[in-house]
Amino acid sequence: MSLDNPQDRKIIEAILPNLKSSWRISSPREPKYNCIAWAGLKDNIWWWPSAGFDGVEWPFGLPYNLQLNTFIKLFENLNYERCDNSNFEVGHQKVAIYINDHTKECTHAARQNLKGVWTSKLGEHWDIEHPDPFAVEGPDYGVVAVIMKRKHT
Amino acid sequence: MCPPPLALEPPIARQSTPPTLELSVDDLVDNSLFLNKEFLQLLQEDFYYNHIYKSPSYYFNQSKFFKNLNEWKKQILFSSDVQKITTNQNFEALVNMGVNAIPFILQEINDSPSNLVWVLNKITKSKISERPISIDQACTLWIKWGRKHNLI
Repeated sequence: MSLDNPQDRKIIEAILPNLKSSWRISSPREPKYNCIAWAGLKDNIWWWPSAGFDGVEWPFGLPYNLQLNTFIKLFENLNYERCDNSNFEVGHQKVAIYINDHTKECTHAARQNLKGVWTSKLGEHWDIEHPDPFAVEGPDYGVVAVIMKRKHT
Repeated sequence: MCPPPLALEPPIARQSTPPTLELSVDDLVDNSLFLNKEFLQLLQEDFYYNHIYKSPSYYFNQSKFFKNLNEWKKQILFSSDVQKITTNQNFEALVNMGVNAIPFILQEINDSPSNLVWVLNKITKSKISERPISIDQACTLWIKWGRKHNLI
């Protein structure tokens, strides 16, 4: 079965209804990392403010909570700063942080690569590429709350 | 400026990232058993080996395990939220099975490493390593531990 196959696309589109035609599955299923770590360019660990579980860490001595400010600090530690749009800027990398619209707790992060394409890790499953950060908004990941950027070094 | 359209080409290799985990699984084995002492003592008595495999409820437990496992995987499908994943009622049902679930968990993570290993963390109240290891390394260590105690 090919990586970007109709069966898996159907599963993903059922959960992320705002994905339109211009997206693709870009990795096999991989349990080693989650969306936050993937946005921080890590592919061998889960980043989440939870203690006591193998394979999970919460870096930089950040507080163990799901507040937006905590996740902003996470990316500030990676040299990102807040910006006002998700447009592609040559030489820059951007991340989007998502929150649940009701609880205001963080749910997800996505990263724009150096070609301007956005990438998300879906739980313990696949990486996907999508044209903008809003394409994965919905019941599961909520809405984009903050965009941050850093210069590519 | 609008982002360029997605390139419709075969998936490319991921951007290289510096590895977080510098230790191999073999490096970690000797330091791996940060396990709850009371739980280890119980296992040493062979009670659980006999209890699990010779219990008339073995097949009942097996059926219950896979029912809860499948429901859990369905309900947490794309979540990265470890709290949400580990407070799901089906996850808690797996934890509440206690040692009866361990052989099934070990077999599952042996076949396919996954965050099912977190049920072991809850049942044993222990991590297999205090070092930041990846989920597949943790699964490997748990399987070694399970073999040592005749649980797989």
